[in-house]
Amino acid sequence: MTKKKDEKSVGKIGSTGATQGIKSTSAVDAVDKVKAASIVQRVSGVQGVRAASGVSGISFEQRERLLSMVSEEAEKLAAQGFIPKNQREVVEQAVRMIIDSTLLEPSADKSDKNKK
Amino acid sequence: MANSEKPKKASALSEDEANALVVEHQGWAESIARAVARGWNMDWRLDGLDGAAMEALIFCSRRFDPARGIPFRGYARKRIHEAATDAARKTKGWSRGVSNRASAEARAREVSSELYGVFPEIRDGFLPHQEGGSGDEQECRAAIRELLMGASIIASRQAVATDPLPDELLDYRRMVSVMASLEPVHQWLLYRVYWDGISLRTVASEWETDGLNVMREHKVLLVYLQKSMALGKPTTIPKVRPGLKPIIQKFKHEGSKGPFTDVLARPELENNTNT
Repeated sequence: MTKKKDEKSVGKIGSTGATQGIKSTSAVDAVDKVKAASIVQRVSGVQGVRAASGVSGISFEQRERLLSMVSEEAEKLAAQGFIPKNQREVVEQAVRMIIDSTLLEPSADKSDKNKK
Repeated sequence: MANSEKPKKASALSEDEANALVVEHQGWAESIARAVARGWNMDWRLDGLDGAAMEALIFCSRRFDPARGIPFRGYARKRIHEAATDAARKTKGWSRGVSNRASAEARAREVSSELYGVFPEIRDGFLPHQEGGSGDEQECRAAIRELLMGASIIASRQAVATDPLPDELLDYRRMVSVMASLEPVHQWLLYRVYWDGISLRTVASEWETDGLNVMREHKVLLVYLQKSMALGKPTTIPKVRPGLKPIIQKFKHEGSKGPFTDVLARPELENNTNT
């Protein structure tokens, strides 16, 4: 009975290089004590993570809710005396303005999603 | 080294690619201009906000580098918003206010305009510190409170700068007195943000510390101010967080007791108060 030679079998193995030698290891002299880690002074900001991570901010659909929250919170702060009575209108309006001016209309958001 | 091996300058888009970006995002840039106009009760076309937004869009398309891995809108939104608000501030109607209502609106615009400096993330469509959070109602309310408190400090400061009423002077004095009881580093934080008009992030870079250190400390300070103003006297002053301790040393070396303490210690102010 003759054995069929497998076509995928390894035909030949070239000689492997012999191990030349192992250099002697030097003894460990001393190990320093672990020092206390100092306070982290500063971690540089990671650029562009927010934009790339897809974290969504406030949307136009939340507009009415957000603006009514502004009125509710302004009332509380005015009652506590943090917002002076004569400044109440200006302060509340300023925050309404800043929130409103950042909310993009839904049409722009839709085209945003389509274009991604 | 051969010329061909020199490191390449950041690769921007070709002119055709940049123009395509402009065409693609024109409607979006206009929606930013419309949002600014809506917020400040202006006309986005008549007041020139559309042109400013378009200019900023073109500028951004020329500078945009896709290799940085940031989507174009993430890169351009803040810049376009800034251009639109700058254009709005230059219009004739910006500070015009004949009636009481219009005058309050003009003052509110001024306050909100300064608020952008304190919380620049708003231009990107985020409430203060919303970026890493869950965005639930409680967080939204906390952020809105922070905006209101910031706006109140700015409004009080602006009120005494131009022909203040006696009530406004008293409110201002009360606020400064509460601030003066804080640690110098805390006083400087509030001063740099609300008097010098720089953002919390910029304060953090100036002080060479993590932005979160400054943002969280700012939040703590506002809570302190809120409690103290409610009680009518300073409450327990907040401790300086470990991340800001090196800054304390800096102010100690400079011999500063804090800008508000220094102002209240001025002899002319003492005399005025006594009389």
